[in-house]
Amino acid sequence: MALLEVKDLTKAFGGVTAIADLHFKVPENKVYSVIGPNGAGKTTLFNMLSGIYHPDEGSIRFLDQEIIGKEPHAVAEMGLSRTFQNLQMFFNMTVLDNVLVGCHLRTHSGLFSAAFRLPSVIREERVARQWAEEALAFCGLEEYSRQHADALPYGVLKRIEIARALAVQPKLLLMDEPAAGLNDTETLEMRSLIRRISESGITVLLVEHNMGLVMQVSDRILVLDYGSRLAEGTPEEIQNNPQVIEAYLGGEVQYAV
Amino acid sequence: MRRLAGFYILAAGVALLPVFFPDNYFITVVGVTAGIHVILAVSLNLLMGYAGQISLGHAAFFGIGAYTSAILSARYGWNPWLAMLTGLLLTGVIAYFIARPILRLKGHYLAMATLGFGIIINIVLVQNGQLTGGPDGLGDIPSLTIFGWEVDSDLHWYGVIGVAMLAVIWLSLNIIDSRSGRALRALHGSEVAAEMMGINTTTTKTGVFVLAALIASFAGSLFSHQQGFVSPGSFSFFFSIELVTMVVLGGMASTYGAVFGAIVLTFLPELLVVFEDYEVMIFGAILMLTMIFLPQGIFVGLRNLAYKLRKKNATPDSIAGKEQNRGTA
Repeated sequence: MALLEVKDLTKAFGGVTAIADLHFKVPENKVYSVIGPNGAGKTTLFNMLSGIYHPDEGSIRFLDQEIIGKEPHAVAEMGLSRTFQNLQMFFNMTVLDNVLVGCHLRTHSGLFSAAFRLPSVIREERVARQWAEEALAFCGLEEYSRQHADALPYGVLKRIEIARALAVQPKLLLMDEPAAGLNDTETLEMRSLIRRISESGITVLLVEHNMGLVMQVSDRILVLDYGSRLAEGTPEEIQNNPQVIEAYLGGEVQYAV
Repeated sequence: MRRLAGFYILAAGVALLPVFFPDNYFITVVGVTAGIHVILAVSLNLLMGYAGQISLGHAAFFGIGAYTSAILSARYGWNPWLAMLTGLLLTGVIAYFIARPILRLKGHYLAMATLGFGIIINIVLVQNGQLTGGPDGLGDIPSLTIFGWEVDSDLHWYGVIGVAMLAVIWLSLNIIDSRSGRALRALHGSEVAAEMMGINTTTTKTGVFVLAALIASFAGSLFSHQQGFVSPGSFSFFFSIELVTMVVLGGMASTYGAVFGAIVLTFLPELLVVFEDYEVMIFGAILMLTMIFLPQGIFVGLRNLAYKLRKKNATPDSIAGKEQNRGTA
């Protein structure tokens, strides 16, 4: 069964069509990548999938439910989480608190019980803290737990965003350029992290410019060009697709596989 | 225990001051005003410092609480506690209905809208003379009675306001260090990321706006009964600005910072009286110098400086514990 099904999706900003008549299916428990040159509409697509933009036409079905028209927090509640291309950290908080925000949907104490710090709140805090620490450990970030987010290097922040998204316990994780700005070592770490996320049963939808990484971790790849679907298939099929080579890769195909 | 260490020190200070200085003007008179300012600054800090939503109209809610208590108890002879409760209800309803349209705005636009609201409320207080007493104000407001014990001296009021102030600080510290408090801070950090973590930013903003308004209304009712007299001047635009200054001066997003800012801004003018004509100038200069040299606010700035100094002579472990506290208190 497809976890996510996109049909006839169209979005225009003024006169510019960002996404045109797009359709694709993301199968469960796979790593599905979306590639395409800058301005191909990848981030626009992500913003529609997460409820930030509303498309002009089409449908997005996640777990057989329509996403369109829902607010991002309602989409998150359905089990979809994401990271951002330009970091959206809570820089005013510690790393642990950042990830604890990710536990928001798994905890329930309200303002009143929190204000009086009822025993139920203390219990819930303890459990949430454990969850957050697990998410941090999964991303190899235990040592940063108590530090302030505003003092940490970029590569670490990228992983904190992932830990925060994982703390939501999503069924589908959208990752917007997780390797952008990372050095070679960090990119290798990111590759193994994406694999481990996938192995833990979370479906990953990935947007990434690093072709080596995309070819290594993806089960299927969708190629976008000017907001339309150019090709779709396994990494091998994509690498040998003459249209893709022509339009996107410019004829020179050299992968660091 | 450690989480609230600062709070216990503060509570001990509030309790001990009148023991050592009974009948001291600065403790029992200025101190009571400072206590009310602390309540207001802590509530505004929840909205402004933590959730990042500026309000230049906070004095309006202080005024609604004060005038509801004043009118109902002085003109209609209501029980002060019932009047206070009615004030809270009225404030809650007004805050809830203006929160949704107003909190769609951001930054300067939100500042303008809240400013406008504050001015409207002030005009209502001035113009409805039959009810509010107009610009001359409204007097003969009865004092509070707590289980048959009448609050009738400066020292008694010091006790009542002191307890109320500590309660508000305690609630604020608890909220900030909880799921709801993290949602507020997340809102400030990145609205879109907060939404993606499942936080309904619209209801969260509305919630904190109403909460801050309710606390301000509570402070207003206390102020009304303590002073025995209210006039529109106490709830003007200028007082809203003063409250913002308290929060910024102490340090945004720090409950203790707001407490500190409120106390300093209450006592400073009193202490500067000795400079007579130059009082206002010196006051202004202190504010400017603080913002130039300690832009994070006096309290937060000095505290971070202390951490930095300690970091040089401490083991990594002990710093880690401190870092944790830095974000929340």
